[in-house]
Amino acid sequence: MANLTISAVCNQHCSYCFTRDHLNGSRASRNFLDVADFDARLDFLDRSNIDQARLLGGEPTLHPQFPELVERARARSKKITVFTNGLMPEEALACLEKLSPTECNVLVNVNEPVEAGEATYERQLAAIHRLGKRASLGFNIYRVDFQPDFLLSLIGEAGCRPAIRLGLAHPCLSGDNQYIHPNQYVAIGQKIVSFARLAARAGVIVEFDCGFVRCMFSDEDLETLEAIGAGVGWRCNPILDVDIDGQVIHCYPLSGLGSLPLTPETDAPALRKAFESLTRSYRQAGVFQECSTCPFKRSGVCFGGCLAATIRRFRHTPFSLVIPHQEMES
Amino acid sequence: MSRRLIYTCAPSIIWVRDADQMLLVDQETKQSWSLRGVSAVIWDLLAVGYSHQRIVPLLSLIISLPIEEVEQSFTKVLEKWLDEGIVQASREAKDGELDHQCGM
Repeated sequence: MANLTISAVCNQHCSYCFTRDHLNGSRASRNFLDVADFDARLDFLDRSNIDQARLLGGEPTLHPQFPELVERARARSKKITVFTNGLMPEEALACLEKLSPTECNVLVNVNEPVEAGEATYERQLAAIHRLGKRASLGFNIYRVDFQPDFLLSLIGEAGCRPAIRLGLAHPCLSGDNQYIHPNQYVAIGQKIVSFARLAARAGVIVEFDCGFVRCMFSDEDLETLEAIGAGVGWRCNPILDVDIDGQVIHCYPLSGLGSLPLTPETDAPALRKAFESLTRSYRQAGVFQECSTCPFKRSGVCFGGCLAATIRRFRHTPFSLVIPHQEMES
Repeated sequence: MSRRLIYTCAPSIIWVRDADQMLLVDQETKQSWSLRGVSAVIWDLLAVGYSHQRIVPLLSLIISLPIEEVEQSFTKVLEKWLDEGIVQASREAKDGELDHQCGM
């Protein structure tokens, strides 16, 4: 798996966005990926034996040549995955509509209508309706008092895939975005289980993005999630996000940790190995103090949460200790 | 000649307190150290800014050893950390300025 960033521009300003630091930073030298560079990205996917072109932004559909990029990826037999907010230009929407649901998956990230505003929500709804089964919904949890019930009505109205991908808002290393503090995970976990039960009754399955931790849920809650088919996992791996300038990062929350250049020789397994090596020391810890003694973490069942949240626990302390009256020999 | 020796935390070292350890990571080399027991206590006291004069008697109480032995152990830990690049050392010149970084 690897994500290709094709646009550094977004038409939303979500408070929890973890790409903003990276895309607005000095590294993003241009707004959109050139077509020639996109072909080089597809070469990277080919030599990594990856059959999906996962298009990311900013808002990827704002790329002025979005239909051409999709066409080029399809010419290489790639399944298209688009991470979008649904506020896409007509050309992009029309291009995706032409693909069958087996050829593309459009993950539309939506915020609560009260946050998004009526006009935005209506536009998103219209786009999801047109995409039909090509679309599935993503929802980022960035407040404890999140209200996800609207997603069930949205699926009913728009006729998209009956699945919701829940994401926890993780911090960038800078901590400049809005995110869920690990101390709030248990409360979030309880709300997720209630929602997953409700969703199951409506025939909707709840899926989980990265960075969840085992201790967010009681054993009983986990049994409930398993019984209703909610695929919960506790992973935090190098996603491999390739930015517009051809630098590969572990994932956007960890972009501050450093990047590796995408050369004509590098493939995804080598990059993943390099990032695993770069992050190994930090991974001894987790988002909680207790992670270091947790049997689930030790056995590898749980990764200890988002590594960006873990690294934010670390600090530098510029202490200075004076040893008095040291005799010098010379 | 008597000049004070000053240990400081190496700039690239970051650390976190876990349930059973102090985990230190060098942000540049990605090397890590897991401090436990007395080493972890020493790091904890350094991190909260305790002076040498406060740390030694406290350690003496904690590990039930005479002050002299604690002094020696403390010095050994600091020297080890200096070798490993966890801390840096400088000697203070007569006028109170730090004159150079030094090994031991």
